[in-house]
Amino acid sequence: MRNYLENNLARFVHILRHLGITVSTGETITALKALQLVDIMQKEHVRRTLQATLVKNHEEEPVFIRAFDSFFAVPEVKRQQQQEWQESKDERAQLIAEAEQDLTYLGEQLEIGEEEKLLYSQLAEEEKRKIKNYLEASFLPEDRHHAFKPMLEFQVRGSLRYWKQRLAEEGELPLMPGAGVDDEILAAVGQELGNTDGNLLYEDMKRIGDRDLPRVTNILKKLSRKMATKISRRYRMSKKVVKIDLRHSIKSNIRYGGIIFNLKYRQKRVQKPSILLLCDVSGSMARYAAFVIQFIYGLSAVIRHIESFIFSEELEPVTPYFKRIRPFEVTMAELIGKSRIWGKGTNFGVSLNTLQSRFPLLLTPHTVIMVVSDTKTLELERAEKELAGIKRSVKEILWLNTLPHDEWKDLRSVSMFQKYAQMYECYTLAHLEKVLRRQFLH
Amino acid sequence: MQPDKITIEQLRSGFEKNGYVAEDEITVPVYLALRLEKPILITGAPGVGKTEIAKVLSGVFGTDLIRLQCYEGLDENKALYEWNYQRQLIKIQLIRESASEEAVEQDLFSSEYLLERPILKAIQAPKKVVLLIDEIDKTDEEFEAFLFEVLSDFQVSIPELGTIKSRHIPMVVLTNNGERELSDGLKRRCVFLYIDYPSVEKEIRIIRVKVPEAGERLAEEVALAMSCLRHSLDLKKKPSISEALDLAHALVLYGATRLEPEWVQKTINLLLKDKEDLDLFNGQVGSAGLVEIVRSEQAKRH
Repeated sequence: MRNYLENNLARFVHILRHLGITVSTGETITALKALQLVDIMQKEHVRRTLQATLVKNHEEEPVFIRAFDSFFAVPEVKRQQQQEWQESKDERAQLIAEAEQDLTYLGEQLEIGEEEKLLYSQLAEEEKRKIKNYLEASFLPEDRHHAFKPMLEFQVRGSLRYWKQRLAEEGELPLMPGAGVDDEILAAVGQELGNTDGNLLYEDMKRIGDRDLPRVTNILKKLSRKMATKISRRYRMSKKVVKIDLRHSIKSNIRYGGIIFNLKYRQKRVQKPSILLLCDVSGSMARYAAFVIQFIYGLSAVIRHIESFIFSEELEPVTPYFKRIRPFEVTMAELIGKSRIWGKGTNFGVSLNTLQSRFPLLLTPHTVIMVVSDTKTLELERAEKELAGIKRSVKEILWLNTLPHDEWKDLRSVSMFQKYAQMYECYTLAHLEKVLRRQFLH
Repeated sequence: MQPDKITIEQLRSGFEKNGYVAEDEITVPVYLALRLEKPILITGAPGVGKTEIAKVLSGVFGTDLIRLQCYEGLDENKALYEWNYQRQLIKIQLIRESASEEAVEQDLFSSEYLLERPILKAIQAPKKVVLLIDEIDKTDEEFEAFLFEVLSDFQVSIPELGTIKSRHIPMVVLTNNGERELSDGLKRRCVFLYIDYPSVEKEIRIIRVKVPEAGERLAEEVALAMSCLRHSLDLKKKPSISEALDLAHALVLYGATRLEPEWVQKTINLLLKDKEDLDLFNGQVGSAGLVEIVRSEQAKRH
């Protein structure tokens, strides 16, 4: 019985860690000791015990509760979970096998990854046929097979990558069955969390529908308000002892005959940051820009100066729009209506050049530049050169990249801009909050 | 009753006797903290009853409550101990010519000149006490690091006096308003409890316990009004339980038996203390609107 409890707890902790909840070994031991103090036949007490000893952030409690309910489910539910997981695994294996049948060159399988095979098997029939026909039509004399096959694999991978990006942009990327999950509980909890409406914090901002915009505005307001309080505390003058102010100490202790009873200290004033925001508003980026601008302006009470620009094929200053006190939605509507560049193609190099030539006074050693963009631009080399030039005049460049981290390796622009900017993955509100918190609170 | 031998049932009834309405969500973590002799870290919005738990614990076990109120810049001197410099200086002046240097030094760094601050007081107390470290998120990270050292060993080293071990491990309650992220080290050492705003049923019970003069119907209407304000409006500062109790008290003082628009008008400043929140309330709901919502919710419940 003892072993049974310990094993179960260890497995449950393993699942929590997979779900992103940090649990130390010490906490696991405490949880085990705590379980011995409650009646383990009372499910509610067990849940409260594990919650109190393993989960130390209120935000993680919903995930914990779902994990607990799935893990300690009644046998019928467990059997169903097991069955669904098995079905999902079988479906995955079947899809991969189908793709392997199609993706061959002269009877030999192409060497491409499992996720790519899964994507292929879920493409529309017409697209699949195009790839298949291409493979069938491609052949070279037998002695050059081995040199030709890697080229074909490279081309097929490129084509699949294109489809992945396109489907993602259109919001039609199919769900990969059983992807990356080796446990039925994890699969069940993951699925349930994914189905829950109300996880807007973790939703790709691009996919947030108009229906949810008022809720997002509320979330952004709350996040920025919370962070504003934190930042203002951070930059208030500290009461901590820094350096003795001898002059004041002597003066205030004259009444004690020169014996120093009360020491007086000097304090250092901390400067709030100045921010220059550059938001990419080309086609697919516009939605992100609207959210980021909204969040940053929520912080305007504590950030000394914010200068905002939007860019696509050129640069446009937008700060004046926000100087008048009006509801944010009205301001954004006016901005989008009047902008000549909203939704056009991207030329980052030209935009940066305009910034340097028309607004040189904004680029000071105190300025932190925040770029919100997916890094895709025309004239990549020019953009890199301009960015390098600007880096020399400012304190720091932060790049909020709206592409998921695992896609960065596919783009040359990412590695080129990373040389001059600290780049962060930022396509959900949770990412945005995390990046800003890290930048302003540490 | 011994804290380290108590049962969940005994704790629940102890809470009730001391006027604190608590269900499993609160009693289980508090019980675990007592039995495991670990600090309990309580988070939640202001006014949901975090600090009250420490007061209730001291009532349940008939022991002292030692409070350390945290603020930015709080350091060891204010939390742990400090030498009474002024007294030491006066002593030096008095015995300047009469005593040897060594004797003076020994005398000056004795417990007579030691100013005990809350943590040392709790460690040295002759019986188990409740140590309340209130609003820990207001301190700096350095202090937090110092604190979790003390909380793991319950002993303090004073260079001039040596190590002082606790006679009884105090019941430590830390409260946190969530203004700042606390370090993992501190969280790891504590049992965690998050207190949310109460459900309507629970709030009715709280009002009945704390303001018995309010009666069943008025208590229900106040609780429903609170729930409406908390959930329907995007307020900067949501009204807390203590503010609900203030409202109930005020209504009793006015002699009200039901929530009416004129009473809401007169007492709304007890609940909403921010101009923007007041404007939002008046613009979107208004006193008459609130009473209307309360009445319709009340009708659904009966």
